[in-house]
Amino acid sequence: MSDPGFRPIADRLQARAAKVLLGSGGLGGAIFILLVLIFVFAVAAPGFIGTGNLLNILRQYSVSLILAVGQTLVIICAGIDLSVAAVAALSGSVMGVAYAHLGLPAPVAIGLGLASGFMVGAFNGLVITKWRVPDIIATLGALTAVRGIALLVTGGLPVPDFSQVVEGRRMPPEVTLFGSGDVYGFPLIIVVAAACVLIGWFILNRTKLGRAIIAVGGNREAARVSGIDVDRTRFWVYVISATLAAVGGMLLAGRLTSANALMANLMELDTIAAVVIGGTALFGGEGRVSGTVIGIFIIGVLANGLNILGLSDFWQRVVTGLIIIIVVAIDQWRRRVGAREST
Amino acid sequence: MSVLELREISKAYPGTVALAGVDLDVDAGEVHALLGENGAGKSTLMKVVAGAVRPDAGSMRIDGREIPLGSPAVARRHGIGIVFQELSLVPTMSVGENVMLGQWEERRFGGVDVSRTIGRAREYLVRVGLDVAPERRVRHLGMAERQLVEIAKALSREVKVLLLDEPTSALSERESHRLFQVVRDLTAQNVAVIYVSHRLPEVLEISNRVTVLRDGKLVGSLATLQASEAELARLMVGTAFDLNRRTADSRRPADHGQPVVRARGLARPPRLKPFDLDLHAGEIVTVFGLVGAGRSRLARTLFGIEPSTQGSLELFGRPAVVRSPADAIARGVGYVGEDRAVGLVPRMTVAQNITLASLARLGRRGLLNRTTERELGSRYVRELNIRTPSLEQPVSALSGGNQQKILLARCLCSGARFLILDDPVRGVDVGAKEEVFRIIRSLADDGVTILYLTSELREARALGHRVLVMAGGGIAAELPPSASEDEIMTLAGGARV
Repeated sequence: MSDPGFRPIADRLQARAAKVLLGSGGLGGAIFILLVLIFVFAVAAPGFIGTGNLLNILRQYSVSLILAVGQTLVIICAGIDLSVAAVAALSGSVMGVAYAHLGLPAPVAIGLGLASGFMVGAFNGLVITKWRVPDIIATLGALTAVRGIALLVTGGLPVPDFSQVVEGRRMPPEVTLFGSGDVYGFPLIIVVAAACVLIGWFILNRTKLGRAIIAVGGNREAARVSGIDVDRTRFWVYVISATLAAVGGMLLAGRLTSANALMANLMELDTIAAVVIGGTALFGGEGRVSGTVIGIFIIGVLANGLNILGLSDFWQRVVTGLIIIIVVAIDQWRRRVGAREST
Repeated sequence: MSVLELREISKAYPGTVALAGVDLDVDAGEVHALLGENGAGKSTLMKVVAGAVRPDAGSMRIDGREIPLGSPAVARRHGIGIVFQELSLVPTMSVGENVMLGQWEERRFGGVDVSRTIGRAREYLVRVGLDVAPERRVRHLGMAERQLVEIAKALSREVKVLLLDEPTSALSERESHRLFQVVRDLTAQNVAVIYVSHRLPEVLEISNRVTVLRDGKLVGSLATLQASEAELARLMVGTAFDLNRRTADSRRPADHGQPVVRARGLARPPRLKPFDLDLHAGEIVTVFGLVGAGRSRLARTLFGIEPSTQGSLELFGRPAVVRSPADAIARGVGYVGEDRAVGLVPRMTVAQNITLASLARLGRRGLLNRTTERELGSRYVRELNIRTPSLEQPVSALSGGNQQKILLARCLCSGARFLILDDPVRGVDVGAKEEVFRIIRSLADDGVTILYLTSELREARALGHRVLVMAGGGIAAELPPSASEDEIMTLAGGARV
């Protein structure tokens, strides 16, 4: 190792890794749990380890991950978005109806799907910042209303519905490709999810909006006296969340080559769990997108592993719920210890 | 005999030694002052006594019995009561309920007998001389009254040792004296009081003994009668300096030319009455007022936090409508409020906090240029001599004085040429205070206009080229800094009911 440039870089990498893993708000606890889970299932569940199964987990949880990225930004901004899964269902349905029932061109159908998500996000943002409705109530209301709109759009039937379908259409080919296609055996939906993760990370860490999101979540009053437009920041964070949810919903429709108003049911809870497992503070101001990725992995690995073990769905729910609580408890404990040592 | 004995208390944090083998003996019925600069270890020592921090080494005895360290519940059970600088009251509850928080009178089936609880609180309110109906909600009280509620709350548990952390930082002089009377009454009842303060005159006035910490070490413990202000200051800082030094200031800068700030009839009734204001470049104008006089409202209105509803304002020669802090910042106005907790984003780093009001400067379009951010951060850390291990340090880990400098740096970074400083050195100790004053003076020398609002008469006179006196929500008078304290006090109190 005589290369003079090597040591400093190695040291920096090491320091950075240590910070990410162990620093306050780091990923240590979540990564540890994930590794333990993988180890346990690798030993106990035959067939768990293997590219086929692992890719399968990634494929299945890509949509949740995309929604969870938006949720991460919202929660860091000290908000919460309960409407993400409903928006996903709406956008998937709108796109499906537009393409398969109305016979609109694929780009138009996709555009309509995106627009429906954008509009719900803007509505959430306005209700929260202008009407001063608390985030949790505003998005709870939106959750119900948006599912209702999706039911109206689809008539309560799965899309495509063969009595209304135009010339054998199902879902736009682009969406089917990205939702269920693969390149050399690698599912494209994972690539899209990874791109969404990168976009979320970029917004949070490399843009002024991201800085504003963290500041507003960390201390709203301080952000205001620093001249940051608090309302505008919160508005955009809900728009981003809903737009990502729309992307996720359309991919889900592509993966299933079908959409319905009740799909992605309760997925909003998965996203919130993933964000919190990933070490993002529920009261805002602190968090990372990479943590959310780990959080989704934990949820996905658990469900998949328990499935292979042949645990009944009833027991799966019990175990998953408890593990979410335990992971966050460990994380809280680690923070307390960390805080005691560093202040 | 000592009611509280600390032996060899040590506590190290990564990078710093907060306490290095500190001993402390406090007698029953005495007021024991604890003095020290930022980071001297006062707060850590107080937290050790209160059980909020577990030291690495050392022991504590109360009435000769060794007490396990590191548990707030144990400390409380043994008669340690603490009033932190950041008050811990529930604003939506009544005064009485707050005093008896956690010790409610119970009814059967776990119900709370509110009226009996409040009745018991009355006794403690009398002991602290607070003449407020116990049914009143705490959120309607001023800072001074809340402080007394907090003390009454500490008294409601059998307290042998009462810790007061900067208790007068939010109080006017008159209210401080009322607090002193309360403290004296308590010591007459054999309670020991540990009094943390950075205000030397009041330490000399109230305490029986003074212990001085510097860099985590005990540098002196002496009877107050034998101590002088200069000696204590020397012990704290390590070198001699004159507290009352008036730098080559007081010469008022040439005030020809247009005023930089020109307000006519600006107001936000009913709390802030119409006022006129003319401030020139390079001028330091202090605003003195007792608590409730409307000082902070004036500051918040000028900065757009509570926008004015009438009157006109010109900034830098142009008419300005300031409806929000963003408007004010865009027009070159900076603001540091009296409450650091409101201004800082605690978990953001030093560099991020410094540049928070300057996001527009941090790169093109919506992108963030982190190199620019670091450069700006390190520039102001250097210029204002902010003591921090690194730019990546979360500001919550810094001392009060350094946090305040970060807020100043944020204003300067945003290009402010008119600074509104509302009691910026509240709760900051002598050394850091001097440093902030020095920064303020050199900013003024560079032509920055400064409006400095304070409830400390000495600061108002020492710093200002002119002193404005506020009372009852309006500006009552303008005086030269040479005006006597009596004269200023009379004007400040005159319109007060």
